[in-house]
Amino acid sequence: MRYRPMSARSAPVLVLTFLSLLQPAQMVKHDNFKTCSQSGFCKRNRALADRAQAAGASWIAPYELDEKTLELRDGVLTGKIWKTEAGGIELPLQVSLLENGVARVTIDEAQRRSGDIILRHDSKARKERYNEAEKWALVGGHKYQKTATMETKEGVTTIAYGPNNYEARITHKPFSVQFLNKGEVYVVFNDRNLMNVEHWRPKIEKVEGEEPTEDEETYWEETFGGNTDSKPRGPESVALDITFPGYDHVYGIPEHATSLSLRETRGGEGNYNEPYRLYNSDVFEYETDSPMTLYGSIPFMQAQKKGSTVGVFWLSAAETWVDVIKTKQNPHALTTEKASTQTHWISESGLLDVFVLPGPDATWVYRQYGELTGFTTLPALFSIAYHQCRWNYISQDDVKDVDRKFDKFDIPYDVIWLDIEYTDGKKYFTWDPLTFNNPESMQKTLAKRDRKLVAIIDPHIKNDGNYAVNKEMVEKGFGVKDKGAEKVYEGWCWPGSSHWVDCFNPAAVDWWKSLFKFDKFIGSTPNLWIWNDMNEPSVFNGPETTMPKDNIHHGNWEHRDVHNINGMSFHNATYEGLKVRLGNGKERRPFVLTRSFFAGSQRSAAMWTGDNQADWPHLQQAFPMLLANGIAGFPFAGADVGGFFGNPSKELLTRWYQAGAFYPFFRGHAHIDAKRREPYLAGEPYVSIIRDAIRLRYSLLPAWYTAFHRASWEGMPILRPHFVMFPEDEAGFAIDDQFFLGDTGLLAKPVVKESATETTVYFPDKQVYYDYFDFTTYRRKGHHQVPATLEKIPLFMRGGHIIPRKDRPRRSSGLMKYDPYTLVIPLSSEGVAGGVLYVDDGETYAHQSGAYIHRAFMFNIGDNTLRSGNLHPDPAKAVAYNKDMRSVRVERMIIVGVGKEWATKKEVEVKQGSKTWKAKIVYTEGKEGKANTAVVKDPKVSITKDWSVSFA
Amino acid sequence: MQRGSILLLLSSASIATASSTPRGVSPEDAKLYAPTSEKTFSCLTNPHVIIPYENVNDDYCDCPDGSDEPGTSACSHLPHKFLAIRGFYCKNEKHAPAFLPLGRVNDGICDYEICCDGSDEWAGVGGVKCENKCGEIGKAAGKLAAERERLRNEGVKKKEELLDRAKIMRVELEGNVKTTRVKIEALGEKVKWLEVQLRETEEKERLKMVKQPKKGSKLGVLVSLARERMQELKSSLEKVRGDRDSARSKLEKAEGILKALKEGYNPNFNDEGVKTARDLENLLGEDEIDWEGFTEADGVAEQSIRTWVHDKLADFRQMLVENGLLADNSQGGVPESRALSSARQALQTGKTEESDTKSHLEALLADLSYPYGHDDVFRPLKGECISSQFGEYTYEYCFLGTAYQKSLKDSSSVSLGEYSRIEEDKSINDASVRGIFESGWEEAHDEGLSGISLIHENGQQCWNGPKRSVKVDLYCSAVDELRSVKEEEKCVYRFEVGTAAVCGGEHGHGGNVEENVRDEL
Repeated sequence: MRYRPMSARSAPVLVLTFLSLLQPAQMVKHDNFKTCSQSGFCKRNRALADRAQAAGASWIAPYELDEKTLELRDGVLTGKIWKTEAGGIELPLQVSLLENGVARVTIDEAQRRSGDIILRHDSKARKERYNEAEKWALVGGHKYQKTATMETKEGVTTIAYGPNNYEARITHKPFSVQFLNKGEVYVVFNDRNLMNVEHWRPKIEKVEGEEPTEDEETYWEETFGGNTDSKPRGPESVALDITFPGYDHVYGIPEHATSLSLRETRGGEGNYNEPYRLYNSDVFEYETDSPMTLYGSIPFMQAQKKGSTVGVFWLSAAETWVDVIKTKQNPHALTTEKASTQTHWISESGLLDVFVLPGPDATWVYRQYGELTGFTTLPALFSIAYHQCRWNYISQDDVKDVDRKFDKFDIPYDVIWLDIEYTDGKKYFTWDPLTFNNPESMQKTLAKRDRKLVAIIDPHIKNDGNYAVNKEMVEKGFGVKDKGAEKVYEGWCWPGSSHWVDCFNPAAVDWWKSLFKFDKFIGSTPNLWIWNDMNEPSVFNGPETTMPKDNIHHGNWEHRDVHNINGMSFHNATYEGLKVRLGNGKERRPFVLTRSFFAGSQRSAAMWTGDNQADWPHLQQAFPMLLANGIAGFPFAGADVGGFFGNPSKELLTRWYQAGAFYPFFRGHAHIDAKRREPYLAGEPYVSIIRDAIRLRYSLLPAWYTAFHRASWEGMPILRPHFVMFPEDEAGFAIDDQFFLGDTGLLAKPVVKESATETTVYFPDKQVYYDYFDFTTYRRKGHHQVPATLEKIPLFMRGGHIIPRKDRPRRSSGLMKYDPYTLVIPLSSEGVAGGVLYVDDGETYAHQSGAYIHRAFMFNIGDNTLRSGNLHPDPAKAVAYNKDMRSVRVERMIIVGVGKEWATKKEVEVKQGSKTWKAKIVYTEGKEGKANTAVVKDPKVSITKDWSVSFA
Repeated sequence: MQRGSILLLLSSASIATASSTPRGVSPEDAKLYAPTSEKTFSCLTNPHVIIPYENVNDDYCDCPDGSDEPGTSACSHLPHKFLAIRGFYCKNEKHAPAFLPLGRVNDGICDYEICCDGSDEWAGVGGVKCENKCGEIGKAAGKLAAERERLRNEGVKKKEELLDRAKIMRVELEGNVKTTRVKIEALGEKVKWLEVQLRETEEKERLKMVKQPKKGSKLGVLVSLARERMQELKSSLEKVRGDRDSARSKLEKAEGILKALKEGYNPNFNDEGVKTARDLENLLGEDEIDWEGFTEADGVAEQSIRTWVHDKLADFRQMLVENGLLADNSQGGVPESRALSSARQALQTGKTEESDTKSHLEALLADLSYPYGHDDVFRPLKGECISSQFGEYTYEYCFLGTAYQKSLKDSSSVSLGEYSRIEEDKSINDASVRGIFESGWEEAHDEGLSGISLIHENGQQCWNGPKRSVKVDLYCSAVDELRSVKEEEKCVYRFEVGTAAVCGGEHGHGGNVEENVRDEL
């Protein structure tokens, strides 16, 4: 029978066809996330800014400083600001002048401070404005400028402080503050009179027929995407405009998928229409070139003009929006025509609390910021090597197979990762009894080659009565509560119905820490480290994929107040748990990767840029994001190599490895639906090129580790943008696709575009630059076309540096411990060079008691001698460590850019201690634009000792 | 080994004594490392680079091909394509000598799986001491090797048995083909004869009918034929209705699953499938399937069947008229004679038997040319099943049949694909696939893959993915076994299956499969 009744059969078929036609969306779902106009307080404050601009000079700001109340004591000024509305609202002011030149301005609300308000809906939330952000973000121990002086004249109070003639000029009516350094204004608060502290007020029901004002419409309950926020305290936002007069570039406020130099946000060609948003969120399939919020936030911004860098740090954990506009006028300086940058900071709740960092250059700004929020913790060495991840390695055999394959293809790696599928039903601290029934043996196998395992542990705890962790958490009240403040909050995440641990509760933190003990986390070994994901927190069925803002945390703070700190509170707790696991002071530096972060996260975690996509725009986007993170004090950052969603072409994968070799955190990762893409699967020539890229990372690990060390005590970023290295060179201020690696003088511009055979690199000064691989020499400042075929990473050595590296690729970084060093010495145009090396055991805290090597290498043209000098301030404390390391030598010195006269040198004289000997030197003439080189063969000098090599 | 042959070409005149062989050099390469009278050493593949002999193994890499440092890791940074030496030679007395990759020399790890004598850690880096374990490892390896040899031999024997069975099966099959062909021939004759009988009977009847025309009887036959036809159509209609009902209930079930998924399953945004389900829910919600319309459409269907049946009957009648079987003016006729109808029936039966036998032959021929591998080696295996547990599943594999994945958690069973063809990949054991370095002795014990794979396709559709499929890579084994299962990418599986069918021959290959592949094409 050929007959087929059409309609009867085809209807179900039609449905199935529809199913297959529904393509997964390749774009972020904008509808899931608020725009400014959908976020009541942002809308209100932007409207205020518009009204102010429209009113021009007639705009009257309602904030007045009460002169009589001013008092300066021990570097802290206190007083009262009156908001001249609603019969006068008292806003306590505090201006603290820190010893390092940082000024802090804090504005509170008196009525709320005293608890004299009524909350709606019988809310149990705290009545004060949230004042504990500093507990989480700041490191404390700050000293004040006790010698600060105050003078009030004609409605202006001037505070002078610090050795650099810092001044804060406070205008009383309307309230505004100018910050000056040597008489020059660098930051102005309330320059445009957009300051706004929404005071508490009772809700007054409108009589019939009376329409609420536009502002009032968003004062109370707000509904978005089917979720209603009860807002028991009504409107409570704080906002302030901050102007950087004469500064035409601003950077920072990560995390956004945007350019390093921030663009304007109030429309116009090439500008955004939305403010930069900071509200930690799990943004599915996020897009590039967008001011949308992402997983983490650091409300720290730097402003740059020729020769000066300053910063502001807006301490709020609440949802925050930042508008940026630039103006050509500069009313504060007569001599310059430079553009000024005007910013507008808007937070939903909490104190108005801002720090001003005077710089005056990037080095100082990073030090000042680090002194506030802490410096990057010095990571374990393995954690800056290569990590291999996938959602998911599906069994312990799979893990062992990948491990073996890396060795069989001679590709180094240090860490293999387990995503959520290793657990028993998404219950953290358990292992799938079928696929991972012997996790210890798996970890032991990895440990044989000094490799590690990282497993994921998220903050959502499966709502399962038989799950001990959940039971204990709920019974002890350690979970986040719903708006009633009594019941534990229930939402959805990977395990389905879940609860969330509340790490704002110190008792919950202690409990969480205890879960990592080896007798609690059965199957874990000292070789296991942790990945904290989904800690924004991500709640699949919550508003904007996160928690309701009226949820209640420990201390009865609303989630609204603490949201942006939530992720950090969690990874901090994990870090503490891992740190004390071994007990008896056998502490080792933990490794924790976090997706969500805040100012201060650098003290305990590394971050990655979340769920990117396997396409060229995302590869391109990664460096600007990592640079932004680096200058915001959190340099231990990376992006998923290969791109998380989708399948990269082999070319894209290869280029991504070349780029990833320059990510401070270097991890390949892939989505569960993506094809396998471990580097050995790519086929030739890709495998060899990827191997070369990973080997390059391993050989430069001494330089990377030295850069991390400097970040850990001075805050200098690992990847340094041009504006940091060449603050006088305005042409470099917006560059974010090339950068310097630490103090090495290595300038990298990994290729991020498809089918490239060459690229344009910018050399920012007249110094000589050498191609890292073939020593091609570039001597002109400006843009150069350079080769960039697939196997080539555009990487250059700036003349005048000394780069320490190790040329013996091993299976993992730990196995390189005793390998000899190679010193690469690209001479400057003047014939000199210098560099630094920091070495320690790479895993314990022994370096804090002095067990480390810190050396300076100098090549001096005067006597043609290379010297190693000790930078250790207390060498006696390093004796034992040096003994362990004394056999580690420098096996090779490659001097790049030597003169022709070196051709005749056959031997050099080596001095170490009281002994002298000779070593061979081999000269090679550079042809076709390449530099001449001279290689010292095995000078037999120790890395732990002072020595000199004379080329005279 | 390519490198080995390069080394042999570069044989040197002088003969080295064992004592002067530098560390890490094999006895067969020792002559390449004999010092010249000038006490120099020429890099093996870059002979223009000449270094003092004392620089051999001085832990500094002089040669661009790494040949001056066979006993250290100094040249381990060189790209593999430049290296002239295979690695660090471990003597491994009491076991088999082997080459360790240079980067593993003096890294603080005793690489016993390649260097059982521990000679790779001669420098004692970080205080490491590697005792010689070749005694026990050699013993264990010897045992494994013997076992492997035994299994191989057994496998080869088994394969011969398989081939014998295959041969017998083929002979039987071919015999069957032959007898079937004969039978068809006979049936053809029989049908011819019956046709003649029918014609003769018809002739007789016509003569009768000329005398006594009874057109009505012809019509009677036709009516009964038409009735039969009508019945056939009716039952088809019934079947169509049944199909519709079962499709509807299937759809309802699918809808239920999706709904349950939407409500009950984790609305995980990272799962495209769940997103799709959510979207489908919208689809169903906004654009509900119109069951009323469906029923109406069903009415239309019935209507169209009626029309079609009517048309077909009309055509049928027309055809009969045109062939003179039916008078144009249909009037009543006489019933057909018994003799005629029995002749007609006999012919019909004969024809049916003939066509049945022909299709039987086709089936036999198809089986003969089915891709059972060289010499039909897989034919006896067809229908045999093996299973193994990996992770949370038991995998069942039926040779040249279907592969299944059965969950240990909810005992659901999913088809991973049905057999479609044989493939051969000669590069399966190449370095680009297996890895550029040699395996450790334990791993090397695993029987290597034969390069012959059985491809299985069209398994159950994956949630938001392709239809499941399995590539079954075969290796020689005396017993049928499933040794590993990997999901290489979403819903694309790879099994390693041991069978005697690929034992013997070069690299344990089961022989040339090209023929079969061609057959299949």
